[in-house]
Amino acid sequence: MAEFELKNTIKVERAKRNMTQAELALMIGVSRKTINTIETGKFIPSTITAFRIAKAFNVRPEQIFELVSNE
Amino acid sequence: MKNLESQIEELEKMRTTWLLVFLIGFIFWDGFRIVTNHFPENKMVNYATTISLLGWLTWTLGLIQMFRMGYKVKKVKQAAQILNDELVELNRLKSWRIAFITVVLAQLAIMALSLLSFDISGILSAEISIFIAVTVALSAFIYYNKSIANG
Repeated sequence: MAEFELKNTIKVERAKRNMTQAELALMIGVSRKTINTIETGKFIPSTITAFRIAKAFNVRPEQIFELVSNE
Repeated sequence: MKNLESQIEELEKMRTTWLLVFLIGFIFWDGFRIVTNHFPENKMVNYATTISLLGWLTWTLGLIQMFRMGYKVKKVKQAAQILNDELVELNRLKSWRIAFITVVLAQLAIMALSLLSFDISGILSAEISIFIAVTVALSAFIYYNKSIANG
């Protein structure tokens, strides 16, 4: 069975808006550590948090998150 | 917003520090209390009561600070939600799982020792289980939070 990885473009989107991890974290109600672990792919967020992140950037969730096959 | 960010960071650091104090206090308090109560012939008993008392004082200090922190959290808007977000909840669950597995393994070890004719009382077995459960759960939670903080 194929293994998948959830890639994201949070860092890119933040850079576009000149936004820090802490600022994004406060916008969506999580800690800066949580944003850091999501951004680096160490932690997969819940659906609600993923949608909140997308809403904070005013884009669709699939523009931020992408499921990539490791094969 | 900067002020809120720094307040949250400060509360996070405070939580880790006082949990560590709480853990160290508990290890000395409960660990040496078990030694005093169940191994009275041990040479350490003379010092064990004093060390246990110091441990209890440290544990009480940690407990008071945790209550004070709870009061501070209530005063900072959003703090309770951010300090208990889904990553923290996940770390709590992982810590509980590790503690549960360790307690089961400890109970198996105690049962095995009993079969080998070591006389271990039911109360000692229960006290060891509580000691292991608290120390392992707290240590694991502190470790997971630290490892995240260090990237």
